[in-house]
Amino acid sequence: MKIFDKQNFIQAIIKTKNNFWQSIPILIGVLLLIGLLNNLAGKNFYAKIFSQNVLADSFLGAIFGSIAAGNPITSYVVGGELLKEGVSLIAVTAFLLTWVTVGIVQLPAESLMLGKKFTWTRNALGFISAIIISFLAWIILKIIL
Amino acid sequence: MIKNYWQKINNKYKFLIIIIIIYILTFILNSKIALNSFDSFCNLGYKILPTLFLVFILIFLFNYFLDTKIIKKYISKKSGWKEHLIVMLIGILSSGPIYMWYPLLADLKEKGMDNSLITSFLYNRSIKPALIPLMIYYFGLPFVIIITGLIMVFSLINGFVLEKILNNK
Repeated sequence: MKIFDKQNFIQAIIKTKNNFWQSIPILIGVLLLIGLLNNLAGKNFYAKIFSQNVLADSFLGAIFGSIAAGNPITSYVVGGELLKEGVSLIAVTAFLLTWVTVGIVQLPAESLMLGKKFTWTRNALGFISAIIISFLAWIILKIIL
Repeated sequence: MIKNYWQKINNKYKFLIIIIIIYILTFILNSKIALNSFDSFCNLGYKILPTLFLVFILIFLFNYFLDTKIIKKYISKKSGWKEHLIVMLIGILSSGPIYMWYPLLADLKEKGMDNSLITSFLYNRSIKPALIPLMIYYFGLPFVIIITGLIMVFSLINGFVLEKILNNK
C-alpha cells in the first residue's frame, strides 16, 4: 500500500469536509441551546428532569439517546454538559451509548435493508446493554477511583 | 413563498435557524438573558474548539487510511474468533452515519455474513477513536478505557445472543 495516494487524499478531504459541514450547524445550534437553557432554566434544570433514581435515570437517558439522532460529537457535548449539570454518570452513559447503537429514526431503513427481526432484536439488545454497561462502568469506576 | 423556501432548507440548518430565532425573541423580551446565553455559548465553544480541531484531523486520517474496499476485503463470511476481532476493529474504525453502512452490510449478509458479525460491527461503531480527545475532555481517561472495553465485550455478547434468538425463531 502506498503511503501517499493523491486520489485517496482528495476523497478523504471531501469526506472530512462533508462531515464537518454536516456537524457544525447542529453543534453550533446545540451549544446555543445549552447556553440558553443554562440561563433560562437555572443550574438545576437537568437535575430536575432526572429523578436521581439511578435505574429510572438510566432508562430515561437510554430513551433520550434512542430518540436522538445525529453525529456522536453532539452526543458527547450534550452528555458532558448534562454531567456538569449534575445528571448521574449512569444516565449520561446510557444516553451516549443508545445515541449510536439504537436508532429509532433509522428503524425503517435498517428493517428494509437488514430485515425486520434482525433490526428489532438488535435495537432491543442495544437498549438493554446500554443500561447494563452504564451500571457496570459506574461500579468499576467506583471500585478503581 | 416562505413555506416553499423553508421546505428546501436542509434539516440541520432549520434547527440552527430555529435556535437563532429563539435567541432573537429572547433578546426582544429580555436582552440580558439573551446576551448571557450567548456568552455561555462562546465560553462553551472556546473550551471545546481545540479538541474539535483534533477530532477533525483524526477523522481525516481515518478517512484516508480506511475505505469500504479494504473493509469488504477483510470481513469474511463465517464467524470465528478471528473474524469477530477483525469486524470489531473495523466497526471501531468505521466512520460516517450508520445508514451509510446498511447497503454494504445487506450485501454481505446476502453473501452469507453471520448476523452476529453484523451486530458486532454495528455495536462497535459506538467507539469513536477520532472522538476520544473530546470524550476524555468531558468524562476522563478512566471512563473512556472502561467504556471502550465494556462496549467491545458487549458487542460479542449481543452478537451471540442475537444469533441464538434469530436461530430459535
